[in-house]
Amino acid sequence: MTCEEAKRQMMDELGHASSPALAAHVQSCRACAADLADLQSGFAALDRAAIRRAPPLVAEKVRQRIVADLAPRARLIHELPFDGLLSIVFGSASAFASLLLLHSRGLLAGVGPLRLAAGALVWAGVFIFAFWTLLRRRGADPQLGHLVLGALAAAGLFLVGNHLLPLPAVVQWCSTRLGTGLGPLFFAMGTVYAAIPLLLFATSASRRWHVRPRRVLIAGGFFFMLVAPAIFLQCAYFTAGALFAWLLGAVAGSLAASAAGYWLGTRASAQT
Amino acid sequence: MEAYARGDAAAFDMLYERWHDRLFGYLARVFDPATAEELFQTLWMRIHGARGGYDRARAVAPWLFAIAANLRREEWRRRSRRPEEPRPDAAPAGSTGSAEDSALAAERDRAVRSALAALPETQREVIELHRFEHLSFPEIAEALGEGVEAVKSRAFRGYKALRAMLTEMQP
Repeated sequence: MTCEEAKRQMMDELGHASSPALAAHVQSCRACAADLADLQSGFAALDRAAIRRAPPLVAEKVRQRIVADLAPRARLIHELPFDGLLSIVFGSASAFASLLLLHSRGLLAGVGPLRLAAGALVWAGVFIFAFWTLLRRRGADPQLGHLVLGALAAAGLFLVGNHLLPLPAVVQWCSTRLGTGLGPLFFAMGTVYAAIPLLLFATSASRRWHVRPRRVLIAGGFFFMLVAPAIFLQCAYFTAGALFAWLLGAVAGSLAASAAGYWLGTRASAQT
Repeated sequence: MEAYARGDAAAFDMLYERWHDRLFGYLARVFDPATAEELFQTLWMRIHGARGGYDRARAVAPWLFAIAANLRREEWRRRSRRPEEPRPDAAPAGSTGSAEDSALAAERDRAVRSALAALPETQREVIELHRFEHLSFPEIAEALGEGVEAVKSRAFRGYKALRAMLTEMQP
């Protein structure tokens, strides 16, 4: 046995009786004998450290908080039958309601039937996928389910914002009042439209569910997928450049709001 | 752990019962009681939040201590930006026995804590996981995201340094 092998074995056997091979080496090597004595002495010295237990009140408070958090999830995620069918029903209904909301403001007037059908199908698909992630009974990821629920809420907020202050109206107003070359402005508007609802959602999600930052970004991506059809369907009013700038802004807004919301929520959670 | 990840409250209770004191000890060994309590709450919220991403192929201990080690490192980094007065001689919670025994135990504990505190964090965390949490070196390597040999080497240097410091501290 070499000294290097002996050192490795010392670490593996620390706290136990030395194997015959190590004992034999140590007997013939003073340096390794000294090392082993030092290690055993350092290891044994830590017996003197007191055991620290969590204060019962703190431990119970944490336990209750988590148990309370688990209770509603069990009802929401695991007890719904026909999860696939429900996802299709809820997803289709949400897509239909969203289209109706756009139509009620006349925002689909310039959209051809083929584009409308394609947009509706894609939108329904995205909504169904979102609801499936939320409701599926097998292999459900509770935290992702919550994030998707938040992303759905944020998308709903986006649609309400779009209803009150429609994107085409903003584009037309900017184009007539401010002229051409408005790419940066549309980028900024796209950012604001996406960032406000997502910031609200990401902050509350990070505060309530203590999610990892990467997961908030995934939820931001979900949000973007949910609102992108709304932007595309209204693009009859947009030039290609404006649409591109707006979409880019929406992506930037989703990412920035996810990160900022995570930071704000984590900070607020640490203070409470 | 898998049942807990699916939302089973009873499974969480079992996990919590088994690990909460050990995780608290891991934090309380290097931070004062108030900070340890605060971090303990944050730690369990993180564990709770991260349970969906638990890989069933992994052992539970390295997974839990990986989260705890990250939290500890974050706290050290935060403190290095905003230095505060450390309180390494805080009395251990939950100690029992006669006044003389308690005083002796507290004195020993203080010496060990001081020696541990004097180690570089990279050595200290390995030694704590090995000696107090009884993790094997492969598990420690997994928890810290490093190689087994590197972890062993740090433990080797750390134990030797501890021995030297505790010998010096003895009256």
